[in-house]
Amino acid sequence: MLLLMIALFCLIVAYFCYSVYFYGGRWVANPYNPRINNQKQYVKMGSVMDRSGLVLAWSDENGQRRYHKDARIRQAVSQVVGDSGGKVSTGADTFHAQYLLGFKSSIFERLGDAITGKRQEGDSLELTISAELSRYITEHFPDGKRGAVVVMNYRTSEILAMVSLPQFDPTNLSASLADSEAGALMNRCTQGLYPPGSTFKIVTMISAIDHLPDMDNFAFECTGYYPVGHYSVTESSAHGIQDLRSAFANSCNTTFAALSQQLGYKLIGDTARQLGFNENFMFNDVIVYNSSYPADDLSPEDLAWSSIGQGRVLATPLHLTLIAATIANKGIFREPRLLHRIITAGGQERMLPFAAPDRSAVSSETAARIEADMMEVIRRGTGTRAALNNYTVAGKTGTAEVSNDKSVAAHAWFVGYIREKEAPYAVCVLVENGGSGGRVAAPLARRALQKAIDLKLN
Amino acid sequence: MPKKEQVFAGRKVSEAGKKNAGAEKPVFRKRERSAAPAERTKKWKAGELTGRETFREKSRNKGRVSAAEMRLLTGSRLDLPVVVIAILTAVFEALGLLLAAAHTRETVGMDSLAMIWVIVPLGLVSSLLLPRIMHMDALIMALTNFLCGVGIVTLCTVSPLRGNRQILFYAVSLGVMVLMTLLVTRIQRYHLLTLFLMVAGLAILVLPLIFGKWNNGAKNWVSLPVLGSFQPSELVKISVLFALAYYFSAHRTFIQMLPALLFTIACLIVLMLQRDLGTALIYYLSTLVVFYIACGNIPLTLLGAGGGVGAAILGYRMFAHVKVRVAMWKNPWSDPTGGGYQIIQALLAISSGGLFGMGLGQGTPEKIPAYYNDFIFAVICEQFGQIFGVLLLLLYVIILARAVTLINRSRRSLTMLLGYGTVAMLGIQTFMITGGVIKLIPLTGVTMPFLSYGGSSMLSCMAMIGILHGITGKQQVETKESMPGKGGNYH
Repeated sequence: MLLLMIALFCLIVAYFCYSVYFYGGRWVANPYNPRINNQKQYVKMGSVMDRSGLVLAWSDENGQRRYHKDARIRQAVSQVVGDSGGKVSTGADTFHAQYLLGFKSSIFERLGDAITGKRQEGDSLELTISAELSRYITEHFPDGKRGAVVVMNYRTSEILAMVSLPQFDPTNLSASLADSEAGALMNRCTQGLYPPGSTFKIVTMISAIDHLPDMDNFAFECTGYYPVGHYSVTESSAHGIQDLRSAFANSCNTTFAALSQQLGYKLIGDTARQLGFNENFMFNDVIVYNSSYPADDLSPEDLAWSSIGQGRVLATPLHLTLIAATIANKGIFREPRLLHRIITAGGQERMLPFAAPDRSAVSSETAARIEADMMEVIRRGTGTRAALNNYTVAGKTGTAEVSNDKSVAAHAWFVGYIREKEAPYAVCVLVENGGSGGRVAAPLARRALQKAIDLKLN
Repeated sequence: MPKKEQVFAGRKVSEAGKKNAGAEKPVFRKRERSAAPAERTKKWKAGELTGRETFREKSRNKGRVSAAEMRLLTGSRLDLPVVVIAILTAVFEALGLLLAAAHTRETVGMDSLAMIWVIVPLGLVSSLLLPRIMHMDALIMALTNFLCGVGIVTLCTVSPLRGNRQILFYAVSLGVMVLMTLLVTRIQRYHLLTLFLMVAGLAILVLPLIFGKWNNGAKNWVSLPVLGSFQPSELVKISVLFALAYYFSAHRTFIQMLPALLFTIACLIVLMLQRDLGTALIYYLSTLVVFYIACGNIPLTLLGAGGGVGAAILGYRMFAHVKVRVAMWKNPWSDPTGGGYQIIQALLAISSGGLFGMGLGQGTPEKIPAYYNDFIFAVICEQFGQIFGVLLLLLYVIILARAVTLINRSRRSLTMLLGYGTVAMLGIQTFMITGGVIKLIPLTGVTMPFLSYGGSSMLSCMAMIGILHGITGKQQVETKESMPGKGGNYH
């Protein structure tokens, strides 16, 4: 009886600690939490800065939220910083309200404020993003297009830029609210679930190398179409005889459709799950929507389409950046970070939340092999426009069809990274209805990487 | 002595009983033989003996022992911790109510100020004085007082009117607890008491069906002209405990156990009709626990558990609101402003409080529906912090663990089953509501013992504490009767 009681007590306490530790921050930041607005009356909200200390948002004496005076910077970081009204629930102003509004202040800090009669002040946040890089990417994004760009330091896992277009102006929120169709308030990097197109071939490729025998001598003749079930996977032109590397570099759909039939749902699904598909992302610093790979065995043609990132496969640009970073890190999957420093009102630094432990998603041999394949893509495959002078880029393009109507342009993708460790940048570019990934997304990726190198972001 | 020495029905009980009897037996006999009685009596009269020895001499000579000496005998030397807890409780209550009064700055707040003069003496008297003049366990009493104090202070800040009423409930409940203690200690004719409680219990349990009104999907409240409005299902818990203990201890065959089972089943049916499913679950689980302890029959217990699972599935199919509860437990965010609102607000409150809380009177607990009764744990976590919340739960465990050790000393299966039933009932209820509030299990609308607002709940919980005290008392009285000087006997 005694033991049972103690066991139940431990169960409650364990669950209590677990849920408060892992979900507590999200609950506090929840738009349904009336305490956030309540707290704003008593606490001066802290500032939000970029990694160089540039103040992006702050509260004036009247508690009014102010944003950077340069409209271009203000808008380039708009979804990351968010708004004070909680309209952008994934923005730092809302998601990290527990710091900004002083929920994390210790009892002594509060007592000190109570004794001196000073208005309590929340912590200030220094984010890992670079406002300058964000502004630059926004400027060079194809005109009038929607999409997303993520730049990340894969060694530290810090997000250097998250740019989502269209953007909004936090000082004139009503204009963006009126045009709900554009979805300017949404951060496409973390909340946009798109078919990853050929960039998903990285996953299929890993699965094939890990699970199928004799991949070194693999050869497949691409005739321009590959029949599966009642349909066939087609290619605009026949690639001829392909080995694995050239199929990857040329992004040959038929080869991968054929591979998928050998692998089956389960093996591709296992690899996808290892790389974070169907996982409930519970990152501390950012809310990332969950990517999905269909785990049910619907039909052979569905399997074939899934293996080339079409059909029901969905992923966010940030997740694809993480996959590129995983390859760059020899198969180690790391939690992305957005908080650079948390500074209390007293000027001290608060401890950052612990990241989930690194886990090995891909074996280092496989990662090295995929890296060589991804370099081949840049050297003579579909991604030549992403090549940089003096640096080796590894990457993969994607052109994800979004409609059966051929007049609707496909989503253009590029994911990749710089191989050299002194410029450890991973990038993901998505241009909605941009057309070919190699022609539209790859050049933008190159610009973004070059700018990150120029800014010497570390 | 009729029915004094009962044969234990269950394996577990009899083993525990034997162990206890075996452990205590040699202590007295051996020492009695070790010294010449005449010499010791001389020493006692000269005042040279220690407390325990004095007691023994006294009992040999006069055959009468006071409660204080009995405490020495049974070894409950918890004076210092109890004094510390009692004083802490008093300070906590006084400061808390002072803050509450300062916070509300209204007449109701001023009432809380006056209430300090009621609650603080009540707590001190019941923790420090009562255990000296009657058979009680001081530690349980002091901790229970602390829990009640936390509930009252919280209520006074978030809902002063309810807080002030809760103090009155608390005062009345303390009285009921004393009565229950005396009843359990003194009564010999359990048969009549149990029969009375069963009949009276069923009678008041059906009252809401006749006079009650539907409220929040349940019909478990009743308003009577003289007594005011109350929740019979809370009070009937006492009847269930006595019925289970009496019929399960005195009678070994299944047929002889049947009256208690039938009574519980009748209660469950009435509760189902009232849609008071949370309380029904408490009754059911407590019955199962007592049944298992009494007969140790695993197949039958599993059968009972299986029946419960069947009933739960049936309930899930039958009642729409059970389905909603389960769905909201799985994912409250699917309907954050409707069905999931309550649980989400509770989670937001708990997480917003942080480790050390927003502070007394801070935060917005009133956003949680039923914040003053079922969800008071969330409010406490918001105001006092998550660490405090966990420590409060630890206090429940300490109270119940202490009760279990006291019950284990008991040598009668009836008191033992009564005690275990009480512990089970309090423990299950605490687990159900805490687990529900933190979304560990689907939410069941029951109160948090000692903390939640409500007269019926307070009354039944304090009565249960009274039962636990009474069991200690009864066991002490029996120990006295079985003293060598008194000619008692061990079994």
